[in-house]
Formats: sequence, structure tokens, C-alpha cells
Amino acid sequence: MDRKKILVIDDEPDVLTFLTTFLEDCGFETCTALNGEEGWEKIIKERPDLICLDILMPRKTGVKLYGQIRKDKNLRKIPVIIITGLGPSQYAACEFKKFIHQRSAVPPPDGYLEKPIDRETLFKTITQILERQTSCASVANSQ
Amino acid sequence: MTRKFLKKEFYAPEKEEEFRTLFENVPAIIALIDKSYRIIKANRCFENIFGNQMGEFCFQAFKGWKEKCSPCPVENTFLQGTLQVYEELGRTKEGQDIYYLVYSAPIHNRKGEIQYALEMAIDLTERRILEKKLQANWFFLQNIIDFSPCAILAINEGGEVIFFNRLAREILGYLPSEIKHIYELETLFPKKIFAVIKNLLESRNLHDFSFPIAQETWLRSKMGEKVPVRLYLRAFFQEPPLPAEKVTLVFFEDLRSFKALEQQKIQAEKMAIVGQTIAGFAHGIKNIVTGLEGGAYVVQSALKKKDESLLEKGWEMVERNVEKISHLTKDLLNYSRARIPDVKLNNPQELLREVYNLFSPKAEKGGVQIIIESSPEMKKAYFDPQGIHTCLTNLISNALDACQQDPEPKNHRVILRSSWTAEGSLVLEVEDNGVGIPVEDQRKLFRSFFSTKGTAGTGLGLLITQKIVQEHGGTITVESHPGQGSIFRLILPQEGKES
Repeated sequence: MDRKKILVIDDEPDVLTFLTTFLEDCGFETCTALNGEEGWEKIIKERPDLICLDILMPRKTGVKLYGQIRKDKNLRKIPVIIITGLGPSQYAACEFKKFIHQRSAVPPPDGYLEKPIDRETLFKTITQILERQTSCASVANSQ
Repeated sequence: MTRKFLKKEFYAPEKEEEFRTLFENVPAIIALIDKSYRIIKANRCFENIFGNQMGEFCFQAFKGWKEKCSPCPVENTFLQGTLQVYEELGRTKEGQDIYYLVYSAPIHNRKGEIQYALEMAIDLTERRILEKKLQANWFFLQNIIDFSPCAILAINEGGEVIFFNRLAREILGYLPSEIKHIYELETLFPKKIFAVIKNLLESRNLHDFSFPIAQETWLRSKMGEKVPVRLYLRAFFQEPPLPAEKVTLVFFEDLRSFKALEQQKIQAEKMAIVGQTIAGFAHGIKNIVTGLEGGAYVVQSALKKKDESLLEKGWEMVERNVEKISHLTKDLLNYSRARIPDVKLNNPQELLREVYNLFSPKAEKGGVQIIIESSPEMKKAYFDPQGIHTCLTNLISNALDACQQDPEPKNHRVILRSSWTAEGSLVLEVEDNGVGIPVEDQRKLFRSFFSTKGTAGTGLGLLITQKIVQEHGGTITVESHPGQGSIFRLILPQEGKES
């Protein structure tokens, strides 16, 4: 089985270093982006199997990028885990929930985690999402 | 000879008529009363008022009484043989009150004994009614003045306090008897107000005098306390029969309770800030802990994998976050310390030069030029050099960040500027042509832990800057246009700093 590729988008280089190290240790392939714009380019170029997305970022926030991904018919299937915590967590959560509420056409993200990131939770969330994806895909293939 | 002639004249018949006419028609009440208090004779004016009372007792006739008055003018006339003057209240034939001033004079017989008392009275009723009305009016005004929620005092042309209302006495702590002793307006009023009052006292025209509608100031109480007040001034010309002179009225409100409320409000706001501060502090620490945990994990992972470059990255993460926590602690200590600014006479240019030297090398590396623009006036100013140094370094490092964050390729520069306001306050500005601050963020700038730099800033820099400026009695303002840059301006008042 191919190694799954995870795209980590966060404006904090330290968070990127930490997450890529951890995810690589878990056996994933990784790629990174420091802001929303770069993130969009990487999604198109790298076609990741999963995206870890920060919400509060300069130049296109995570919220905007998330909407963009979900609206694109080629990319909308890519699972997204929102990882937030910059700025008071309540604020980020509020903004995100408002966004989901306002656009009921946009499906909720596949996962939602708050910083500080708990490694075990992150790993569990990712594997669960990827397993679900694979089983769905295999069902689709067998039909 | 002359006397004889006069006597002859007196008994002349035409003289008798003269006297009768006078007696009957004089516009005064006249009654002749004998020793037994009976009315022997009365004139027309008497009859008009009291009716025909011939042979009646005088107390019955004048007052409708059954007994002699006490004191009795008639009795005293008989006893003392001299003119008696009394003010009396009687009753008219219509049963109404009549106030009259009565003169009672003795009339002698040929033997020289007192035979009658001649009572002559003038009706004072109208005057008494006017007096009573005046008194009632005065009482009404007195009540308005005394129960007014505004303290009032009046000053005459000689600069003497001639009137205090109840509230003014209470606020300033004087007894009614002490009013006359306050002559020293200079101690009662602050210098500025005293000058205005003096000007007003000396000016001939009321119209050349202008005074702000209400001014917040203080008055000195008897105990020497400066009582905060809101004060109004008005003047008018007083007319005779009172001394014809200009009177200045001072109206004031006691602001002590407002000041106390203000203090309470400030205290409540401070407590709210403490809450926000703790929340922000926890958040800042959480971010650093996340960084430290991440760094520790990366180090551990690198050691396992023997990946030297990853080890370096991880260790840098740890170091960076240790530095951050040290910054945060230092900032917090700076902020929490209740430091009284050490205000001295300093050269602002020297200070600008100092921070310029500190930042210039770092700025040039980042492609940003720092420029000093100072006013040609090489004046010294009062400020705390250490405190203002902290303010400027905070503002300059923000300005440099703003330039470095700016994606637009332009010649970035930071200008340090010193100038003076018309009032003589020192103005220090830090201007950049960096990214600028979004309008929605401009309001949040001086709140604790507000930072746009993610985990790179502690969010305390501007808060500390503001605190230091406020300790100088100054203000800090910001002008910013997204995409064009920002100007942070410190205004440090110099008035009254010499003492």
C-alpha cells in the first residue's frame, strides 16, 4: 500500500516542523504550506490524501481555503482536519462554527482539533478518516 | 408782647374754624379721649374707618376689645404727660384688620392738668401688606437659594465675599458667621479663575467678559482641602438702595461624589482588565508550551533517527520558546511594576539618536532605513528617559515588523520624529510605510495581549508603551492606513513639570 500523503498548512514554522516530524514518524508522507495561498497551490500540485488546516492565517484564512476546497468538484473529497488554537480558542471556534452555520451547503470538516495538539488524538483522527475513505473507495471499486 | 398777640390770635373765631376744618379733614385718624378711656370727640377720618363711636371706650372703638390695651397709649399719656408713639393692630367697622401708627399727646386744662389724650393715627395697612409680601417673597427666594443643588456665592466690587448660600457654606466648610471674614479670594480660587474674576471686577462692561459655560476646577475649603467643582461665573449691576456696584456671582457644583464614582469605575475597569490579562496570559503560555512540547518531540525523534539537521531544528524550537517565555515574563514584570516615572530634563534628540543606533544595523539588514527628523528647536524636555526609551523601542520594533511583513516591493523606511505642539508639549512620532493596521484591529491595539504576530509577540508592547505614556500624563495616538503604513504619536505635556 502506498504511503498516504498529508498536507499541513500553518503559518507557524514550528508547528510545521513538529507536525511533519510526528506524521513522518507515523509513516506518512508530508508536505507543507505557510499560508492559505500557498496551501491552495500545494493541494493542486501534490493532491494530498488528507489536509491539516489552521484557521487563523495571513493571506487567505483557513476558513476561506476550506470553502474553496469544498466547492471544487475535483478536490472536495479530500478529507480536512481543522487544527486551531492561535488566538483565544473560543474566538476561532466561534468563527468556524459561524461559517459552518451560515453555509449549510458546505459540509462540516472531517475532523476538528484544538491546539495544543495531542499526538495520540491526532493520529487516531487521521487513521480513522483514512480507513473510512479506503473502505468507501473499495466498496465503490468492487461495485 | 408777641405771646399776648399770639394768644389773642388763637382765640379768634376764624382761627377756630381753621382748626375745626383741619381736625375734620386731615387725612389721619384723630380722637380725643378722656381719663376714663372714653371717646369724647373723633374726626371724619375716624368715623369713616371705625364708625360713630362717641362715648365708647377707646379699646372698644379701635379694636373691639372689652379691656384696656397693654400697654395703653392713653394711660401712658396721662401718667407721663408726654407724647406716646405706638404701632397698633385694630379692627375697622367692617371687621377688617387695620395697622396704624398712633401718636398720643396730652391736652391740658387751664390749671395745667392733663384733661384729655389726643390720639392721632396714620393707617399703615397697605404698607404692612407690602412689607409682608416683600417678606414672603424674600422667604421664597431664600428657600430657592438655600435649597438649590447649586452652591452660590457673591463677590462685590471690592473683592469681598458678600453672600454664601447654605450649600456653598457646607461645601467649603464655613459657618454663616464666618462669611464676612473671607477676604482672600486668592486662596479660595485657583490662579486662573482668580484672574478671570479680577478681570471681571475691574472691567466696566459686562459684555467684554467671556467665560466658558462650565469649567471643571477646584475651590479651597476652610480646612485647606481642594474641593473639585464645576464652576459658572456671572456678573450683574446691583441697584440702589443697595450699594450700586457690580456683583459677581459664582455658581458651583461639588464634584467629589462624581470623582469617587469615577474612581470606582476606573477600579472596576482595572479589575476587568485583570481578568482579560489572566486569560491572555494563559493563552500566551499555552502557545509557548505547545512550542516547547513540539520542540521536545522533534528532538526526541531526531535522536532516534540520528537525523542531525532535524535535531538542530528541534533544538531551535526549544530555544525559541524558552526565549519567548523569558520575554513574556520580562514584559509582564515591566507591566505589573507600579513604577513612578523618573522625570528629568532631557534632550529628546539624544534619545532618538540612541534608539537609532540600537536599531539601525538590524533594520539595514532587513532592508529598512531609519531616518531621524527632529524639529530645529533644540529644546530640552521633561520625561523619564528609561521609560520613553522603552516606548520608542517597542514602537520601532513594531514599525520594523510592519515593514518586513509588507509584501509590496518598495523602499521601506521608519521615521523617528520630534516636534512641539503649540501648547509646548513634546511630540515623538514613529512612522513607517509598512503594511498598516486593518481598521478592525486599530481599536484593539492597546488591549492586553493583542498581537497580530502570532506567537512571535507577547501582545504587551503597546500596552506597556501606553502605560508609560499615561504615567507621564501624556497620550498615545495612532494613525494607520492599511497598505500605506502607520504613525504612532506620543504627546508628553511639559506644563507644570518644572516644579
